[in-house]
Amino acid sequence: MNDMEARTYALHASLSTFQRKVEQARQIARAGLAKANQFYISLSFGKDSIVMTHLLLQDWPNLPVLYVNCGEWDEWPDTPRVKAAFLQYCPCNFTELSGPSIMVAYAQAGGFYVQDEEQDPTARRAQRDYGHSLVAILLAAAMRLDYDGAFVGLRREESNNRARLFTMRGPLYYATTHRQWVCHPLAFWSARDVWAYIVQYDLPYNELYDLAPEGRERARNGAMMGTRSARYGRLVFLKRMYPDWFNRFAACFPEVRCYV
Amino acid sequence: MSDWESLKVTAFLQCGVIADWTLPLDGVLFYYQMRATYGPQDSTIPGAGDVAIKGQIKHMPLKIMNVHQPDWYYACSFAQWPAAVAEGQDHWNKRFDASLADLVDFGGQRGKVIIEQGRYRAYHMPVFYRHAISVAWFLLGNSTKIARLLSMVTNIGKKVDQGWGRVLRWQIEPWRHDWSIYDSNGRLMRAIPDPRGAVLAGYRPSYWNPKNQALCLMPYP
Repeated sequence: MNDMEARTYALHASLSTFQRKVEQARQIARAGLAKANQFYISLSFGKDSIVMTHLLLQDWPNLPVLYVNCGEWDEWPDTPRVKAAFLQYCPCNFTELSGPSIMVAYAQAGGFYVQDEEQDPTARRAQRDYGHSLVAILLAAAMRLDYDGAFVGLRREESNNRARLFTMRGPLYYATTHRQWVCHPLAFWSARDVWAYIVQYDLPYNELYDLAPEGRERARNGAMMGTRSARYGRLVFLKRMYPDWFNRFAACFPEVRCYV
Repeated sequence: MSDWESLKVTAFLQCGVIADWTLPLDGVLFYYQMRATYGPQDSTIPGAGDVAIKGQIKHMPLKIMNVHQPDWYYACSFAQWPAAVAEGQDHWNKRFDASLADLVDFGGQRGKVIIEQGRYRAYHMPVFYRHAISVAWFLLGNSTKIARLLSMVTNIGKKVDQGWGRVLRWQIEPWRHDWSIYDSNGRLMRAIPDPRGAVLAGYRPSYWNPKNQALCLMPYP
């Protein structure tokens, strides 16, 4: 992050509107904690979940934190560094779980496919199974550890689906199928709020946000080798940011070069 | 006397080139040597263009290094960009033109135009370009044959069908040093395969082909 960006975010952090967002997030979290017996924090080491985790641990330092590590093809190369730096900065009751890799989904589908846009039923099934298995790992761990509520760092601004979710259900709701309360303290934050918080507390963050050509406010840290938004250049960015990793991936799935 | 001369090849550019900083010239020469050997690329039949890839490319006008080794490569440097280089981002787009919807033939039946997949899939793809007055390469090769191949090269980089990478003229001049692999200061000029390398990269054309990729020592951009 260059000096100008850091100053801009620092100025934003000094605004009263930002302070109100932080207080609003605390209120949402407080309301959530009153509903369930034991909440956990779902952490992916993306910018949103890092901010949410730090914000919550300041007031409730004993909250357990769960992280699903999906392996080298899903986690960004800088995530191990961010993880070590964050846990040193913000010691907590941290549990790391092992998750499914997107490569398993590609193998199940019989090859590379573009997520959410594939007509082939096998690919659709593979994608659905991949998503479900990721959630299932978290839910199984929550059940085993007797947790009945989750803090998740989704934001309304991120997509239409998420905006609709918060319009319909609000930032705190009971997920019947998962049989747990779900609380989104950052539901009404903008990306600028998130970065202002990171600058204010000097939190560690993934280098992908510095490298991403679409800008730090729009960059996402989903499965690194995921192909959602391939038609909008996701793989072009990936190739530019991490050419070595891209070459390794393209060695497995040569057709990926059609999207760069 | 050896056929190989130390050369400096310079391309004077009319517009930006969609390529990364490496932009290897041996890849360009390889393509045009392939066309000279196998004729025009058949792009009308899916997969037909791949037939030539299986063939052997001979008579490349570049010296081969690591001869008789599986990881041989050509004595040709990566692109040497001048100090003043402009970098930028643009997009190419493809979308269904609703004003021409009546031209779509659904075979006499009702149909639906789906822009997420299939024939009418929409694209908004970023491209990254570099622009400079000129870009140069150092190589060990045969200047006459290289000049003949380069006479056919009007554009370099990607998206040449959209006008990117237009070359105004090529200049080939003898160079007093062989800077194809290392320059006079010992600076690496291209990727060379080496197990000590930290980067998986292509080291000979076709650079995109995994068969031509290995751990390489890379020059810094």
